[in-house]
Amino acid sequence: MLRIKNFFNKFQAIFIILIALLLSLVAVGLLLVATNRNPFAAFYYFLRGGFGTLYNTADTITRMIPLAIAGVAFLIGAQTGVFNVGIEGQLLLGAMASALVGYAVKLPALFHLPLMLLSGCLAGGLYALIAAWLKAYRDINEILSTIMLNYPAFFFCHYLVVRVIPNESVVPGTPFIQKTAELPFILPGTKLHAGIFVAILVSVAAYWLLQKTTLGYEMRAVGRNKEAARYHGVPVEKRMVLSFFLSGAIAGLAGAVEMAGLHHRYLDQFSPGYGYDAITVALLALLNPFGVLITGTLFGALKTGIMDMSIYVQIPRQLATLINGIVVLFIAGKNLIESSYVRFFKGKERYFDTVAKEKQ
Amino acid sequence: MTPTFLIVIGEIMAVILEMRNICKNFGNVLANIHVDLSVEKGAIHSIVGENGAGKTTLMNILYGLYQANEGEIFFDGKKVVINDPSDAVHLGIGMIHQHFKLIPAMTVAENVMLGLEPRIANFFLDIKKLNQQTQELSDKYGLAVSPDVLVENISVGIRQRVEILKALYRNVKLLILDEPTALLTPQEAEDLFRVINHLRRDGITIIFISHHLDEIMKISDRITVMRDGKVVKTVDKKDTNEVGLARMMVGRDVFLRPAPKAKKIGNTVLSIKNLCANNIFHRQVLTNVSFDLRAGEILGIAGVDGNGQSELVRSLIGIQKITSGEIILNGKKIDHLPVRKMRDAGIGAIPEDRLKEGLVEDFNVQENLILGLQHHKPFSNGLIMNWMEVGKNANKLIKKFDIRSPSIDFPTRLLSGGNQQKVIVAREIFHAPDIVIAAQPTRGLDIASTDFVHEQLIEQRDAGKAVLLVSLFLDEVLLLSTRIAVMYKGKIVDIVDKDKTTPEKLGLMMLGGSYQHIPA
Repeated sequence: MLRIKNFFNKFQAIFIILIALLLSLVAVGLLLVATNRNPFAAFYYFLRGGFGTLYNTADTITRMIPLAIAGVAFLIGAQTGVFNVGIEGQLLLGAMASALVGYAVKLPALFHLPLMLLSGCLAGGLYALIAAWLKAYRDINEILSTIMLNYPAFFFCHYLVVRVIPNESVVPGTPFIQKTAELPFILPGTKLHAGIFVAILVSVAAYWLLQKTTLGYEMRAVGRNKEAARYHGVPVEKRMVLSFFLSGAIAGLAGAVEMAGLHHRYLDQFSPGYGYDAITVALLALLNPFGVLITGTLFGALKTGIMDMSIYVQIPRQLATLINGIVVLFIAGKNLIESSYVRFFKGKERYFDTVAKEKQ
Repeated sequence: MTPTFLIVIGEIMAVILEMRNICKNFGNVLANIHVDLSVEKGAIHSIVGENGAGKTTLMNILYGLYQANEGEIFFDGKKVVINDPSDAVHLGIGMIHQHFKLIPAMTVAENVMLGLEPRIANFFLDIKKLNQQTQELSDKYGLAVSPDVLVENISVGIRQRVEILKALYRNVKLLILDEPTALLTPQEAEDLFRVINHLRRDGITIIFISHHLDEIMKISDRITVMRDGKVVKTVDKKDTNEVGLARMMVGRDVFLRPAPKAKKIGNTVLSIKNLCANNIFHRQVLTNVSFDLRAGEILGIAGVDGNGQSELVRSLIGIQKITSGEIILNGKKIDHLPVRKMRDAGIGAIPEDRLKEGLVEDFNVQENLILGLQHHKPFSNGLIMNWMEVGKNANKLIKKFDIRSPSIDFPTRLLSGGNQQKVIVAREIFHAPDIVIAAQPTRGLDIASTDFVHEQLIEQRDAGKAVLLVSLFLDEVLLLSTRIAVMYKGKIVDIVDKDKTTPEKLGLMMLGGSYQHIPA
């Protein structure tokens, strides 16, 4: 009996996420039915679009790369109790910095690529420090500060490519980076690039940091109970600032990998909101560094699958945004699901009596 | 006391409020256990008890902030159901919380009338009438509050009166004051008592919650003592005194075994000199606290709750900033060091508020069993955790301290309350280098666990460590301590040898020694 209960307790979180996903699927289905479309056909084309051919699967995974890396960026912060909603801005600045380093610096590939990625990390990390300082030493809510800091970052990059950096092509952007700064494509005929290894590496590194190091232990302690951590000698503010910096740096890396692997130059508005999707990706993954690889793929498929869906079932592409929103809504409401889940299985009992009996 | 008996009494004395058989639990903590309370009309009825005795929970149930699991409430002779505070306000029940619920950027009058403000043409605020009505109300009850000043510009004492005005404006019949003097200066407290007496003359019934016995004795008509979620007794003021109340408050139905005496007392390990500290409101909460703690002894700190014990413990581990004084450990000055350095210098502490400061509930058991030790060998080399050693440590402590956990990676939040406490006690006692500070180490534990913790503390003492025991339970302090220091209003009244004192003498000191005319 206890074993079943333990199993139930251990995996309850995952079950609830699955239920939330299922419910959002039902909600989307109802939406399609309401607009006179066949939800099953839509679902079929969605899967076909996401994974039907080698090219589509590669495309899905290519889109997973920035989502997963940025997802890790979010969860590193969230595990330490800081909610970095500014990943988008940090990602853009990281992309811009790395694109400039990739273009302007001339070095052998052995040094150039790492330098480029590092510059992305630095740009994102330093930008995040603004919100980190405000949070740790001025008690300013980081959700508000980071979400607002996304706008200066976006418009700064926009300004650079539109007004400052000379550009010959139609789309505003920086010049192409040097060949020495590129991450190679790894599957001929597709856009899949070596960034996938960076994503896996980042996941492993985040897991290692959080679970295997003293620092990670302290960061998790701060995230779960700040007061207890403080009482036991953890320098709470320092850990928060550190995790904010790491979060920003990884967000910047996500941008840098997009530059080095996919676009090879900073394109104005290249990010379809990776930084925002990353939050959903990380939450869906229950803040697990390996989980983001899975949920990132799911969101990548959402982006690729929606194309086939829109062609064959005549669904506007904006629906992807809507589906995203519906999923977020159900994830946000997971406590509601949890309570009815527990009530459904356990029934309502007069808790006081049971507790009182146990005490005696 | 059976409910029927209460009804009989009630009819004679015109009972305004009766709560019968109230039960309330939070998770597996029982906050109110079959509580009966009957309050006479027009009386000042005090409820006393230590923190966690269930006073505030009971009042929050009455005010509709919590729902009881069981029980009935009768108000003004009718059975009532109070689902939320607006129900309570409708009935004429008002509550002044410890933390005021005022809007600082609005004027006194605007706060008082909020939601019921006088209007012109049902749309525009009638500011003139607003101020005028507030002024009248203030004058009627002698509150001396100006209606047109901003709340952010007035003192804590006046803010409290604004809260009282708010309740009066809503035609309050029964006013609950939850530890109203906690944030007040002595002068402000005096003024408050004057206001309370004024209210009573006008027929308003008052429920006054406090753990300061002198206040209770000063203003109450009747007094209900609560302890561990139950009502110990309800008495008339004239039939009791502070010593009697103190006994009812801190006494425990635990069968305490006499502890073996200290074997060998060593050198002074920790020396505190003239320690002073302020709370967040810049009021002094510790005044020139000095004592020496020697190896091989247990120094007990006795006192009624809220007399500076918490702040003392928090200064010793570096959380509470001190304003002056010195903390010297093994000859080294360690005050003003960060928490980690102070702990590393040799202090282990069982925090008073366990769930908040003692545990990370979302950690598993083995992670919690090294909290604060993660940078020490063998659990890590300072950078990389050694989970094997962490696991070994967990297995060892689970066995030694009989922690009932299915496994070492079981989530701590799913353990029972007693076992969660054992996790903390095990960690702090087992790993404490020189000094163990135990703040309320047995609060909420059952008899067997209490016994166990006592044994552990004595074991540490006999192993040559210095133990500082802070407890609200006088019998616990008497049982374990080698010497006893009594705290009152942030000062140490006296430090006495256990053998040369009696509970009665200590009880008097706990009340500041200013009531020595009361026969013990």
